[in-house]
Amino acid sequence: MDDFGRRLLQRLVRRTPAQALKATLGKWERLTVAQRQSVDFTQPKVAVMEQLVAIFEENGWTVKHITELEMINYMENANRGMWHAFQMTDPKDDANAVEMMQFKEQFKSHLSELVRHVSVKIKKHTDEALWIRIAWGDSYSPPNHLKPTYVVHHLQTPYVFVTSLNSKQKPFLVQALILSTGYQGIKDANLSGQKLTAIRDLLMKQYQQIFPSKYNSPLTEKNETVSNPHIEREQSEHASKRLQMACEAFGDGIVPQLQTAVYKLETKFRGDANTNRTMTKREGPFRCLVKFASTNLLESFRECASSGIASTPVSPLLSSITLKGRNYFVVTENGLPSSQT
Amino acid sequence: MKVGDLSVYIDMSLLKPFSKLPALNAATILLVEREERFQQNLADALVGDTTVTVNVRLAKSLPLPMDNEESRPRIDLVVFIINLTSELSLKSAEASLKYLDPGYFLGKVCFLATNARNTSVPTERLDAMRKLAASLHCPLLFAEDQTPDGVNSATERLLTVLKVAAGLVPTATALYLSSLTRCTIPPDIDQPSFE
Amino acid sequence: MEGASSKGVLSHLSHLEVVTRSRKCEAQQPGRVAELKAKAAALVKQRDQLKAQIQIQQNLQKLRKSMNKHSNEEEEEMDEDSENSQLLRLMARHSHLRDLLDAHHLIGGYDVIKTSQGKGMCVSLATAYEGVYLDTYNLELDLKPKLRIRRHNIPPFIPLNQLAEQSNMEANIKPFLHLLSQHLNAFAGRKQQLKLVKENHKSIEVMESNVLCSILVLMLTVPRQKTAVLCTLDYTDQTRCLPTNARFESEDKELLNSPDWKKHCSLLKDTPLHKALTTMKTIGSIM
Repeated sequence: MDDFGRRLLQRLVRRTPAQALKATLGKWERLTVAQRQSVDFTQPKVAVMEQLVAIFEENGWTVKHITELEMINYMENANRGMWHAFQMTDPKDDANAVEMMQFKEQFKSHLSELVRHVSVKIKKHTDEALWIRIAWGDSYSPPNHLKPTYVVHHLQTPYVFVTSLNSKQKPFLVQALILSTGYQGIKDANLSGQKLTAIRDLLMKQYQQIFPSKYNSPLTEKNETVSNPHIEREQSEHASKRLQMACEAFGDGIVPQLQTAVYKLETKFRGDANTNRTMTKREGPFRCLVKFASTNLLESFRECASSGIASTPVSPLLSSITLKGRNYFVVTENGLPSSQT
Repeated sequence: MKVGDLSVYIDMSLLKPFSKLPALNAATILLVEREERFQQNLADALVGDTTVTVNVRLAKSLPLPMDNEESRPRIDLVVFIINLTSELSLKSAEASLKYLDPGYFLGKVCFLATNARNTSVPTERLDAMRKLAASLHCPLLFAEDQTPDGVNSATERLLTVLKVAAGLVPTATALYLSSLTRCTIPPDIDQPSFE
Repeated sequence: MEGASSKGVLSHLSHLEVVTRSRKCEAQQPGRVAELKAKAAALVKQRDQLKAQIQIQQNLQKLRKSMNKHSNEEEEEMDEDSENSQLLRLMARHSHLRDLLDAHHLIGGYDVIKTSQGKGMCVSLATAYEGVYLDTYNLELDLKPKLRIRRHNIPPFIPLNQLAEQSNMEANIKPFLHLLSQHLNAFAGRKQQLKLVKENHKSIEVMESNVLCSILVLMLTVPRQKTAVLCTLDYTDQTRCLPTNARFESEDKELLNSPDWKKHCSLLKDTPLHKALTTMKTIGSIM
């Protein structure tokens, strides 16, 4: 194995916890049972690395095989890096009939037409998602396997999730994608986060949503905590109403785990003319950036609204996160959240 | 709306200290807190008292809903829990005050401030809080809501006031106690501190 | 002649002897008898169960009739063993409500409620396949200033906006809901069929499928020769849960040209997938 292969493998081993690495090797079909068992994951990473290098050299495996392993590893531990969502627009009539083999072939051929040196790997995950690993090169340099771009796409849906893509490569990817999926345009979905599962669930509506219903919802029953007979809530129906509204706005159960929501304000400054003369006299919009951050933003919002810290009904600015499936907004003078797209 | 209607409306929504008969060896406390967070812990601790039957009513703000009017016992003490890190908390308590009958302010109202030690609390808010309590002749208690010890000591203090306010302590009355415990503003509160 | 006939009698007798002996032998097979007895007992049990079920159904029918007749009056029949009758009454009520719900859906009714003081509404669309209720989808709509979808939990591969445009939702919501419900029901049906295939036909490998369940590639195996046959099903019409196109691929070209497999092709197009596969299995075409 050459130096570069060594570096690539080393990086993979170093970045992955031992247990995850073990699971990844288990999923990789190339290793024999004996080989898999021979690796001792309790020893330090350096030793594990040496053992793996030995196995790779013994079988004559190269960079190609290491990237395979890396891809399996990434698919299993997708919550790394920053994922951005894109939405394709204007589907052609045959967009719904695109099939995996056809997509694979087309995507690869389109991309290699655009970029001379590019290495593309496509694999289907268990949840029907297509995972694409792209190592970019240019006219003079071979594909850089140290900085691959990962793309996740579910066929028949307009959404594409991308991580570590730089602006130079974006046009190529975009063009290859729309040509091979039967759409005519693509736009930034203004949604990003560290968890692929979260942004996917939000856009694909795979989290539990609550809708108004004429029947007694399980929410109100959940809310009735059995407590001491001497303690009584005077405004208990308010609490259940708030919970209902909070859950309608942000979802029930485990909500998609977003980390941030950013609002870019481009509105006029409103305030007492006497206290802040310089601000109110200003021509043009008052620019300001509001950023909410939390380990689980939607859960925090839901908790705030249901406990009464934030007022209900929930402000459309906040409920737009789930309603529109995005976490970056530009708020202009019209008051409604809009975007630059 | 006619003036007559308005007065009826106000009368109905006003909480009165003596409109109902007291129950034997029982005291009722009303905890008003906008966030509805600390009140639950406090309530659980308050009902644990074995010497008297303590009834706790929890509310987010006043006025209280009319539907519960029948089932609600006479309320002996109204406690406004104010989280000093939140401006809304103080504003909400202020707005609720006008739904109390003036009779309550003779020793049957007290303020309980939490998070007073938090560094993000502006001194102006603390001062506003103290002024409010002083102007209404009410005691202002400070409590620690994060630790069990804090909850216990707040409970102890509230129980003492509650028992007096409910008339369960033979030698003391609410008015008498409040004249001793009410919040007073230090004379230098409005003066800049750097002189 | 005589000799022959006497020989005939003797041989007849000896034949009879053989027969009786063999009959005795049969009687000596206690295992077989016990087996048959057990089978008989099982059948009797099954008959009794069916009889009991018929009885329950009849009671239910009677109850429901009486419920319909005088729904306001209290019924005082069947008070013997009250627990049973209560259960029966509940069952009757349940089946009655279910029928009403089915009828409601059948005549094109939707579960709609008003929201935000009449400014919006919420429609819930239940999907069902072969009498089993599956996922329920919801749509929240704004009525003012114009009819508009506000929020929903319909998966993105159902082309909601396209359907809304196509059926001119703003002018009339009913055709839109009908079309959407067709799409959702067909999707639920396809998904359920795939689930049933995966559950009941372990010998069949699902090679490819997608989220919309509009393309399905199955690997079938012919029993004796162990020939692999690739079966591709295309569900181009997304309002149906039957494929528009079914084709087989195999190395054994003769096999696919046989009339049996030609028939299978049309069978797959006309019957739900899991049933078609069961039929093919019983004929012995596949494992």
